[in-house]
Parts: sequence; structure tokens; C-alpha cells
Amino acid sequence: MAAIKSGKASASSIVNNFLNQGKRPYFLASVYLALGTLLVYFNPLNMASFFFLLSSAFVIYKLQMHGGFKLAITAVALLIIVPIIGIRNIFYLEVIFQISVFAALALGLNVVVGFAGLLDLGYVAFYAVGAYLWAFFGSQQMFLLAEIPGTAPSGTPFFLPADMFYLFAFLGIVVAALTGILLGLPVLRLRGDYLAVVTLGFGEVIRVLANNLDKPLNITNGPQGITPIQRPTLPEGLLNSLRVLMDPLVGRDVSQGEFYNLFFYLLALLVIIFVIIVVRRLDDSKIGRALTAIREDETAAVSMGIPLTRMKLTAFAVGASFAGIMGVMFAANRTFVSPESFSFMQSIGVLTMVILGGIGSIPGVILGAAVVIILNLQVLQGLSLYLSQLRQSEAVIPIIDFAWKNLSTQLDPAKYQRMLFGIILILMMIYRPAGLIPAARRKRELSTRSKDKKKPITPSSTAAEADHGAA
Amino acid sequence: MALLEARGVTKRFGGLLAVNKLDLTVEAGAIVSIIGPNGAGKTTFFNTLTGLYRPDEGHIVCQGHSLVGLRPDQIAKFSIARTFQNIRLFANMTVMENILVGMHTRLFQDMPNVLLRSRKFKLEEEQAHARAAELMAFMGLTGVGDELASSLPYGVQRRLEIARSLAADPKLLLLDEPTAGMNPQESCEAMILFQKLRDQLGITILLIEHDMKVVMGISDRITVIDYGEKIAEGAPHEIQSNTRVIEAYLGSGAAAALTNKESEARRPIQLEKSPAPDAGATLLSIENIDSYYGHIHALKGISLEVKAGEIVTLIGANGAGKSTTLRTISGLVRARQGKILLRGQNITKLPPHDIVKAGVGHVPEGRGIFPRLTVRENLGVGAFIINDQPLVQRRMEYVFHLFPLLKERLDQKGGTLSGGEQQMLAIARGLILNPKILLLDEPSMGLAPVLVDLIFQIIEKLNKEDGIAILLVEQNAHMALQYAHRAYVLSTGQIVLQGDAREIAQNPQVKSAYLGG
Repeated sequence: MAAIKSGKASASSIVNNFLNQGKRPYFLASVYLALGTLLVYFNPLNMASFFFLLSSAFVIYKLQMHGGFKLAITAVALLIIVPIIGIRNIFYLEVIFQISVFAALALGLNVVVGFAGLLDLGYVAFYAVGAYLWAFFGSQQMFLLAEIPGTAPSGTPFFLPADMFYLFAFLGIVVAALTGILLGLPVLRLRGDYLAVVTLGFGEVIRVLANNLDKPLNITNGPQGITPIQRPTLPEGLLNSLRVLMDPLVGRDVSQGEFYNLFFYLLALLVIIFVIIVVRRLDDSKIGRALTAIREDETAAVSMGIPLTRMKLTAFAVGASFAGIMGVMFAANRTFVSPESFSFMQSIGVLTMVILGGIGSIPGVILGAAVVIILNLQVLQGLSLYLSQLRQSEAVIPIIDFAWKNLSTQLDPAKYQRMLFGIILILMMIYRPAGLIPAARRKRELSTRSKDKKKPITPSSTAAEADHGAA
Repeated sequence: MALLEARGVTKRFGGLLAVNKLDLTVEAGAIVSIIGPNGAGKTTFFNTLTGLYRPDEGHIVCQGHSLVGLRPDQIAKFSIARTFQNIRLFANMTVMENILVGMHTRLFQDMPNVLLRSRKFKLEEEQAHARAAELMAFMGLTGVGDELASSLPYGVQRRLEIARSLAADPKLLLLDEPTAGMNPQESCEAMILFQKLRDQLGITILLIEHDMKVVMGISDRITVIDYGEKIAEGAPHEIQSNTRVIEAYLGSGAAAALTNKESEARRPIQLEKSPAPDAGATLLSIENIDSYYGHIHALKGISLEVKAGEIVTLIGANGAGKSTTLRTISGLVRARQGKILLRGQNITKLPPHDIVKAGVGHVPEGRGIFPRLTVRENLGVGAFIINDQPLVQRRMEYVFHLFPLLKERLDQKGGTLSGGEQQMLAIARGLILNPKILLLDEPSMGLAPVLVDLIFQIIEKLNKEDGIAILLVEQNAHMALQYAHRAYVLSTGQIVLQGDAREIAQNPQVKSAYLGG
């Protein structure tokens, strides 16, 4: 094959070469991160500096550096910088926690949609299963089964000790995976659009169950949701020593609630790391290849000996389990769950993260989650807040000489949020259809060839003259 | 004991009896071929053997185990591997990954091993990758291991599909038209390869194939089926002279060629053929075009011309850029440089539908008919840009006059037609707009010998009687050179030779590279 690359170097490759010369990337990454940290440290309320700091994750990911250094600088950022600036402005910690939760969900959905090519529109149901699992067992709900919703007698004890949370985080994985298999068994013979519709239905069924299982037995407490839900206890001794460490850095006394935020952030980080390891190992194995093969061509895959149903169930179970554990964490973090959190729009939201980030691509999906969360939580909300302020001020739109305050309430800027989000999505799909960080297949041939030099080659050595590359 | 034994296998689709009480015995170490007209039920039989279809009646026994009722993945575990007629690679996976998927039944890593990256897992992966590299070397795929399967030229994809099936270390290999779309030289190499697989690796081969040179050259036994039934069985020389087989499948020409060894399995190229009509003005001219597929520089400064009333053929190896040239002319691939002129009008930048309007008909490789639409609807879509219904009717009458068979199949769905009928439909659809020039991409691919003759006769008729210029891409270079006036030889995106078809056919380099000796 006489394939030659087109000769001209693109602008981006020139920039890449420039940035990655010698020690330059190490310097750049360190300075970028340090600058971001200082900016946020001294302007804890300035959103732009926070984004700058967040973007350093992308910079570290993109620059070509030694793997060990990347790991070290990321660890410093995640374990030292984020906790400190996060406690100075607890909202940041909350944003990062949400990003982690949704990144795990997106990674789970990515196994189903990206690897195996099974469109699941009801993914958030597994998240709900995890959340309600801990919500039920980690609250007083067990003693309120006979009560009418909203009439909990005071002094009802909790059913389980708070530290059972850790067991239930694990159970969340198991129960959600089983739910995935249970859903998968009857529906996985369906393909494409049909599967999408059934999963959509399943997602709604779970939500409606959560909404209505307050009678005859009050299991979910209906639309009001379950609260309070226990959080695991933080050992007093550890807290005190942490306070000694944190108080001077933060510049004031750190409250127990703030430590809880930190705790959940670290827990989410742990889960995310676990999820990334699982997904990467899965992808680069017989199982991952089989899933991708199913996505590409079911008939060919089954003819290679891949059991379709079992592999698809595996994908469903793995995807669901990530949602399950994150559901348990969500319930404990919020101390409150209600059916509202598990609507169809949430499923679509997670799917958006996967597609926007780059379907099938692990770093892409994480970036997708971050971008969607930040857009929704901060950029668009900030924008509409700014516009609302304009409406209340005396400001006038120049040129057309139109006073903001005369704008009809029908055109309330708060209503633009979703529209802007939609426009961003459309533009993304037009200009980057494969996502922010498109999935790439592993390049393996060269590394393998250098390795197998020493091994005896059976058929090819006798048939080297097969030489099909003739003509 | 026979490796595979099928007894009375029957498969029905609704009222249609696709395979009817078929018996077949495959002895270990044999090469057994199944031949028969398009639509005879050969592929259906393969699909039944491999579990994609469940037989309605009959027994299939492999090494003492019944395969009836097992799923395809269970049957694969009996060391039965296959390739597909229409190439079914995992398009967005690399060449190496495709081969690794083929090893699925040979890898024993389970979920705990995968997640813990155990020693056992690492060792197995390392061996699997080494074995994949070995297979790539064996199949001449070294160097493209990290390319996506979809980016490979057609012939290389065929080789990859065979490599993938070999990855399972099969005892029995089912090959469904493995040389379709290969030129005679490549078919010849494939034939040597199949023999090697049997002789050196001890793989038993069951082969569906239309290339009689391959079938007659390597088969130990041949089974001929027609309308789902076995009509003959025996050694190659018995089949060649079987009158029923000649009538139903081979056609008198191919049969004569097969028995006459001196003629290189084909009729000699007619030297007395009338020369190209010189009077014809230049109809289509391509000047120095460059085309890319992604990063791949597929055409490098191709220039060629087709005069009115001419048949011009492009020959060359797989991946040389023949199909890309046609696709660039019809606007499906954009030329980065150069000009394409149709009767002096520059059509380089026109969108594909305007190029069709300008008078270029394109019959794509693999036919590209709409399988769920009826024959009538397929033709209707072809006539989409004509708003004049009576005119459409007249054009339909015209194509029915050329292909009377299509008239009988008017309300049949395109997908249910046999390969030959589909090809006729594709050509008919290309003709319905009354093109000035027809681009034909591999019209004889996957067709029974008797149909190949028929298709070429139709091409000649279109050209002679209706004066339609034809630009023909064809792996069957013998036939193409026999019918064409002029020829261009392409190699790696460049024209390396051009001239009178008869002279090209006599060129010793062309003979050895593309005509199989």
C-alpha cells in the first residue's frame, strides 16, 4: 500500500512541536498549575481563575511528558491544591464532586454505548437504584413503612449504623449490576432503535416506581423523597489533626460540613480512579475487543465465537455498576433523594457528555462531563444571572438604543440557558463530530514486532514466499 | 471419519426453498468446493452450517457432535471459522485488533484476570499479539497492523478476513467467494495460499467460489448446487464435462475454455476486433487529478480520456486507485487538484447529483442497489431527477428490452434478487437517465461464469447499438481487455501504461502482473 501522508504540517502540529521541546512541557505544566493555584487562592470568588485552574488538567493531559511526572503533578493538584482552594470556596469542591459523579456515570454509559454500541436511554435508572438502596437502608425509612409519607414520628431511630455506608457502596455495585443483567436478559436481542426505546421505558419505570412506591408500603416516600440519609462518620481524631493542618492554609476554622465536602470529593476521586482503571483494563482485553467487535458487526462477531448475549450483559452490568456506586455516594452526600433527580433528562445529559466528549474515548468522556457540568452549573447560569442584572439596571443596548428593562418577560434570559446549551451542542456536532477528544485505536504493531523477534515463527517462516504484496 | 457431514439439510424462507435436502461430506484434509449459479443457496448453506440460520430439516455433524440448534458462537468453538461473501470486517478496529478478535475462542482470560492484570493475562496477551503479528506476516499484512480495517483497499481486506479466520486455529475453514474482486494474478496467489493452508497447516477447506481456475485447480471434490439442490458432485474433471453443470452454471464458453488447457482458461483475445471509432470526439477527459482518502494519497496526477463510442478499461491491482478514479469522476470523492471535463464542461466541482444530470452514470462496486425497495422502485429512484412520467416509462421499456429478466421481477424486492439480477438492476438503474458515459465498477464481481459472459455481452451491446461510452473497472482483466478498445494500467495511484487494449493484453509485464501468467 503506497499510502503517504499529505506533506504539509498543520498549524496544530507546529504548535505541538514548539510546546513539547526538551524540558519545556515540564516547565509549562508546572507554571500553568502554579499560576492557576495562586489566582484561585487570592481570588477565591473569581470564576475565571477557577476555570483557569481546571483547564490545567487538560494542559497536563495534552503536553508530552514523562508518565511518572504527569502522575505526580496530577496527584499534587488533586490531593493538595484542590482540597485547600476547595475549602476556601466550598462551591468549587461541590462542582468538582459533581464532575466526578457524572464522569463516572459517563464512563459507565460509555462502556455500553461507546464500546458495545448499545444505545441506552435509561441509564440513570441504575444511578437511581444505587441512590435508593442507601436512601432506604441508610435512613429511618425501614421503620416508616407503615406510615403515610411526610408523617415521620419524631425520634425514629436510623435502621443501620452510618458506617454501613461503605458496605452499601459495594452493594450498590452489585445490586446495580444485577439490575443491569435483569434488564438486559429480555431486551438484548433487540437491536438499535428498539433497544433504545426499551431502555428509555425502563428508565421511566424506575422513576415512576420511585414516585409511587409510597403505598401500600411506604418504601420510597413518594415524590417527597427520603431524608435524612446518613453519612459515614468522620473519626474525631483524624478531623482534629486535619484541622491543625488546614486551618492556617485556609485562614479560618474549618467546619465539620466542609470536611464532609472534602471527604466526598476524595471518595469520588477514589471511585473515578477505580472506574478508569477498570474501563482501561477492560478495553484492552479480550472482553473489550469482543464488545467493540459486537458494535462493529454482530454477525461477524458471533461467527468468531463471541457469545452475544453474555458479552452484552457484561457491558450492561459493568456500566450499571459504576452508576450504582455513584448513586450510593450521591444519596449520602445530599442526605436526600427524590425521583426528580432521575428523570429522562438526566439520562440524556449523561449521553450528551459521552457524545460531546468523544464516544468510546475515556479522557474524552471525562472532559465531556466536566464541560457539560460547568456549562450548566456556571457559565450559562452566570450568563443568565448577568443578563437578569442588566434587566434590572438602567443599561441600554447600544446602536438599537433599547433599554434592557423594557425586555418582555417572555424573553427572560433565564430561559435562554437551555437554548444556548443546545446551540453549543449543535455547533460541536458540526465541527467536532467525533467529540472533544476522539477515540483512537491502540497502535500495537511495532511494539509487538520488536518483542516477538526471539520467538520461533511457525507457519510464516515456511511460507514467507506467500508474498501477497505483489503487483 | 468425515470432519463435517451434512445430511438432508433443508432451509426455507417463507415459501422459498433455499436449500433442499442437501448432503455434503467433507473429509479431513480435503479442499471441497461448492459452485452453482447466483442465488442457488450456497451462502445460505454456509450460514446454516455456521449456525446463523437454523436448518428446518436435516443433520449436521462435526467430529461426532451435532451442530443443529447450536448458536454460531458455540459452533465456532468446534474450530470452524469462516469468511463472508461481502467482507464483514470490524471496520473501526485496527488490522491487529481484527485478528485478535478472531482469536476469541483461543483466549482464556476471564473478568478477574482482566481486571487484576494477572501474570496469566499478560502472558496470554503477549502471546496473542505475537501470534497476530505472525499471521499478519503470513498473510502479507505486515506494516498495516495499526491501520483501521476500513482504510484498507478491497483486496487487502479480503486477506485480512482470511487472517482473522485463521486466528482461531480452525480445523475447518469456510471461505465464501474469497477471490471475488481479485485480479487473475491475485487469485492465483490466493490459490497457492489455500493449498498451503491445507498442506502445511492441515486446515480442511470448504470453498464457495466462482473463479473456475481456482475451483478446478485446487479442489479435491466439487459439489454443484442449483435451486438449493445438488445437481452434481465429483472430482473437477467430472464436473467440467457434466452437461447439466455446463447448462446451469458454466456456460458453453467457460466450459470450453476449461477443457482447452492451451487457451489459458479463457478465450484468446480477439485480434480481429474492430478498432476504436476514431471519429469520436473526446467525451470525458481527466487532467492531472489528485484525490485523497483522509491522509492517503489515492490518486497522484491521473490523466485519461474517453472518446464518444469507446469502451475504455482501467486495470491494476487492488488499491491501485481504479474505483477511486470512478468515484472522483462522479463526485463522490473530491479531487484536490486537476480538472474533469465532460464534453468540454468542467464538472470537477459539481455536486454528485449535478454530475449525474450532466450525463455520467455510475454503477458502483458491490452494486449498491436498495435491498428493501422493489425492482420498480429501484429504477424509479434512478429516474428521480426526471419529472416527465411518460419519459420515465419509455426509459423503463428501454431497460426492460435490455434486461427482460428484470421485467419479470418488477415487484420483487432488490435484496431477494440473485447476484446476477442485482447487477443487471444496478446497470439498468445507471442507464435510466440515458447517460453519455457509463462508469462500471467491477460488474462481473461475484457472478457465475455464465452470467459474466452475459454481462459483458450487454456491455458490448450498449456500446455498439446505443453508442454509450463506457469506462470499465474490472478485475477480470482478460474479459475487460477483450471487450475494450483502449486500456489504462494503474499502479499505486498513477497511470503506468496506456494504449490499445490488444497491445496492452500482449504486454509481457501486464501479462505477468494482472493476467496470471
